[in-house]
Amino acid sequence: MSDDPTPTSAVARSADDVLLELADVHAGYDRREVIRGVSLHVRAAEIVAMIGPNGAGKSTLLKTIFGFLVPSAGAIRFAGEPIAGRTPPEVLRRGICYVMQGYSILPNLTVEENLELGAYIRTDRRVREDVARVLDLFPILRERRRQRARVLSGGERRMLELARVLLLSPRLVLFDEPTIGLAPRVIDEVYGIVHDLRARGIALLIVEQNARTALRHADRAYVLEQGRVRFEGSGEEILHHPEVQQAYLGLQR
Amino acid sequence: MTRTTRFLLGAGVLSALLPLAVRDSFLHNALILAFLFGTTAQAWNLIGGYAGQISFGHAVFFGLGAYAAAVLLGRYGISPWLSMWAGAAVAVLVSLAIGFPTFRLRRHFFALATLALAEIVRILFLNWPYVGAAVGFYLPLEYRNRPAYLMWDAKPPYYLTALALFLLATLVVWIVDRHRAGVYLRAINQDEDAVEMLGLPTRRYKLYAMALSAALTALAGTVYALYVLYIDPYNVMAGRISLLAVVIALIGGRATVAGPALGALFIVLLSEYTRSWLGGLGAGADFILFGALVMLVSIREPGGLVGLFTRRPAVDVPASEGAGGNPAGPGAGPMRTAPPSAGDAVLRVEGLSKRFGGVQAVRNATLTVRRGEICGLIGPNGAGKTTLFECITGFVRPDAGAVRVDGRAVVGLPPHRIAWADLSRTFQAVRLFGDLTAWENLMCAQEHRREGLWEATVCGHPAPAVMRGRMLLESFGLWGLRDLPSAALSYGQQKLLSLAMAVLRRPALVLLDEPAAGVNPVLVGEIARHIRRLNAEGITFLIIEHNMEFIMALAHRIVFMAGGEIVAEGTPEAIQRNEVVRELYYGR
Repeated sequence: MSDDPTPTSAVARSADDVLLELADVHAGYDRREVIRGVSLHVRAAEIVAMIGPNGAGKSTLLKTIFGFLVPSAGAIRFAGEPIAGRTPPEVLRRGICYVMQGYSILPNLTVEENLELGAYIRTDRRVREDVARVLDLFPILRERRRQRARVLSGGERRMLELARVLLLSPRLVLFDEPTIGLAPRVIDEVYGIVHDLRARGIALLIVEQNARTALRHADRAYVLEQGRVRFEGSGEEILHHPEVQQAYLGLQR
Repeated sequence: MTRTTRFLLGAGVLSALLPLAVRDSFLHNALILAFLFGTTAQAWNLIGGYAGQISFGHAVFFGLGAYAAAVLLGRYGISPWLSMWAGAAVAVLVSLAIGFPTFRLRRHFFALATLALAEIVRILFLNWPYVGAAVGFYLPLEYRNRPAYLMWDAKPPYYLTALALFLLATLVVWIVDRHRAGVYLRAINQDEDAVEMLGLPTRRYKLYAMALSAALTALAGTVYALYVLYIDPYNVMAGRISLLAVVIALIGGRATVAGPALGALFIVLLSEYTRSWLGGLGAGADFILFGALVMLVSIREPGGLVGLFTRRPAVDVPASEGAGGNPAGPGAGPMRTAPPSAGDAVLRVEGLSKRFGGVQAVRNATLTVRRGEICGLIGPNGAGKTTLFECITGFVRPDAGAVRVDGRAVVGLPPHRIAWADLSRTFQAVRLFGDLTAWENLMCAQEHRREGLWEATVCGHPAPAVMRGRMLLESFGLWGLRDLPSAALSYGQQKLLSLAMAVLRRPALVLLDEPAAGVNPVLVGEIARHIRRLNAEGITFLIIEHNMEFIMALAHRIVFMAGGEIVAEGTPEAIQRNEVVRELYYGR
């Protein structure tokens, strides 16, 4: 980890409720190492934010956890079981969902079809009931369930992606840039849903450029730079840490 | 001169001497065919490899070259030295006739059209007595061994002719590759709309590549006819020839100069030798081996055989930008520059409306952007902001209303002409040409208004664009990364690069679609600083943005859109106090 004094949260790491744990993970593309020894953990029903400059490796880290990239070194454990090197479908079956940056909905399918496809890996017969139940949680989507997803606004697309995730009853959601391109009001709505998910016992690891907002909502946060963790702490601690403010949050206001 | 080029020159000289050293008639034949189909593949490479417009009909051009030479010689005794140009000219006309209507459409229509063209022309020739119909056409043998007629008894002269033609085609492709046109064509392959928005007339360049490609292919057809001395639609207009061109170029390496050369040697020699060794076994054993080897290459080297010779060096991690640094640089604060004294209108949108199916995306929008200002355009998702941009820039035709850029009515013009009216834009999700380097991306954004095709083919980038480009990259901290493919840049760097591209030619008006989205807060401050400096240079900005801190500090004036209508406009302070805006946008 970093040499800097890290304002570590005082919360003790009780081994039993740690859901996801990364230990000294290295990963990258071809011969380009992007993640250079990252250790972090996410507990059950916890909102963890990951912030840092563009190119720091945040999205790459999510891809590594989800199995799109195989770490060159280090361990990734989910619910105590090593998952490094597993393929995305295997990771998905273990209860991790990944909401990608941008366009992961299928614009030519209807809202309902998008949801049903989201449950593709499920083998039980209750998908339709669950789709109906999930739509109850998102009235806007229910109204538009027969419309093609292409007509949804940016905020509604985010809702659809989250709704789709719910069908798989995940234990952890990896969320890449939940609020990119969203109006302030919609940002509040998306984070409202994020809190709902946590209330249902789902943990979230959120990558955000909209750092202040993310930190306000996060239980804990990590600051990533050049593929390493530079700071970690509670959302509040990170938000008010002078060095973080200076270097990562900009000096607006 | 790169390694590849030196290698090619050396290979050219050595292969010219080969018939003196090796007197193997089978090898000579195989190489003659390799050169002729290599020429075809090299020609195909221009339109299919560089410009990315896949043609399945190159046999037509090959056949036209063959028939032009055969018929003009057989019927009128005209030397192939003349008739080959006639064949090329006809091929060019046919290529333009097929390209002109289909290049408007999405590219698969072009592919389908070439497929249909090949069938039509083949059937036409099969039933046209003048050219021998299905019987075919024999070339008159009395002209043999007269250099003026390009026909001989022995193979070596054909070998040299075919080699010379192949080198000519390679030279043409090399020239295109090394100059602006090559960069433009590769950019067109990646994202036509984005190229069009840079002011580049994409259809003109596609037609150009297509015509050049057709002409070279016809020349190969001419030499082929003179070599085999008998032609019919089955041997010079067969789908096999079209496919061979495609396969050679793809196996060799598309959009590279050396690819089709390697591909031609590999494919043609392989097919000739497997046929001679295994053809006797019957049951197509040679085809099976040939197919297996081609598959093996495609799997091992998806980029083509050139990949074996040009290993890309490991790319250094670009330093993540906006990190640590000095965020408190000059002008990083929320200080706004003084609003400009009311200038004339750079952009005037009047009563613009656009409906998509049941959704009224933009409703009677009227908006003026004055010279010298930074104008913010905000509003909820789905308010019609991006649709308004699409209408202004010509990607979407409004149902009603007028748009004037610098006083010129632009509705109905293609996007590149609107760009010429002096505006540029960036896209919501960054749309760079990922395979091109950062520098090549930037140079695609140079001024295209008075740029001719010939100039683009033989000239490097003009000095003013190079100087300003360098200045921009240096001030954006991207100069050290200029030779990296833009796909290797971080998202923030890509955003900076697209901003640099939008302002390279100093357009009067720049439309930015969410320049701060997905960018870390420190870099957001830097982007604001760059925009202010460019604004001070005299560039007017209209900016869609959801990052309120950013836009409220940057803009002189804010326009608020909701439900397709322009609901409010005013100074940032007034907009932030506006009740309607507060309710619709902030939700409080």
